[in-house]
Amino acid sequence: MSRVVIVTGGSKGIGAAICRAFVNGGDTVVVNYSRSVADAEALQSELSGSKGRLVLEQADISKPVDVKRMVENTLKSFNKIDVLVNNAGITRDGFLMLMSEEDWQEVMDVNLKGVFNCSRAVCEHMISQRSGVIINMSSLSGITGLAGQTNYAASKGGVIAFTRALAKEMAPFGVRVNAVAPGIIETEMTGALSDDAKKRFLSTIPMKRFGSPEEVASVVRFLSSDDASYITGETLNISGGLP
Amino acid sequence: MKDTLAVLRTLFITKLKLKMSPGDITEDTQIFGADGLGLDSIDILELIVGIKKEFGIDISDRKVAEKVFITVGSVIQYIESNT
Repeated sequence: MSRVVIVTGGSKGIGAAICRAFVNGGDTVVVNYSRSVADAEALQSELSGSKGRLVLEQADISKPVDVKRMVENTLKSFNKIDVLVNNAGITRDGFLMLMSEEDWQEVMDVNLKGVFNCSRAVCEHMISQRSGVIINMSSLSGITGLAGQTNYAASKGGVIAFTRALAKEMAPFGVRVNAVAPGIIETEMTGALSDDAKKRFLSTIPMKRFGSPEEVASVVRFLSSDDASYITGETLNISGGLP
Repeated sequence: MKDTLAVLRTLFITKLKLKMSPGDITEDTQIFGADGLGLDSIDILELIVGIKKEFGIDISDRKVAEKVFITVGSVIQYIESNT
């Protein structure tokens, strides 16, 4: 039976790959975007005629009122929410000594508070349904820390702890909560790295290659499935052997 | 008034342990890159601490730092316009 899946920040990169995986598997995906409407529309156009379908929902996930509207619209259209993928995230890299409060707060608001806002908004419905899966996007940076990413690492480390705690709260209601921690994945961001920087990163990865967004998407899809029915509270590294 | 270039030369050579003689460091010397001082972004943090200690000037904004740390001359200009 077709599931209803919300993917935050789903219009590009890893989020878009996650949307494709679910839509091609026959599910209905609500792709949330904040500003990149062109990317979201392009993805919708790309996936028209697929097994599942893709609908668009604009919302700034750092704002509870936007998230409430997104969830209400989803329920109005589809009557249920089976899976929430808290994928949306931003970086504002810089050394702590030079980091503005705005750069710290913006990252926390999207990467951690966004997860809080969206999870809280769907929990009530998943509890009534007595079913549901929440998958949170953490990062290798949230496990090992990376110089220049105190804000990002703190937010992604927070996502891991949040996942463990929420999993314990929601387990009695048949709702599973897990996270994934991708390492270095081929996206626009890694594409912009200099050849030197790429070589340096590659030399640290046991598998000696970057991961693909599709490799992250297939783990997310696995965690959403009944094949992962006894997995909750976990964070799966998708990082080629790191750290 | 301090000789800003002289103080910076001392910072580069003693604090950052650059293997250069003072005469090799001029206002035109690039901060980054093999043709310049070859500093990296972690070195800049050390330099910021040194500038604060020697000149009492705080550089705590990434966007300001990006404009200041281009050449030795741009660093001198920032220091002297904020002293």
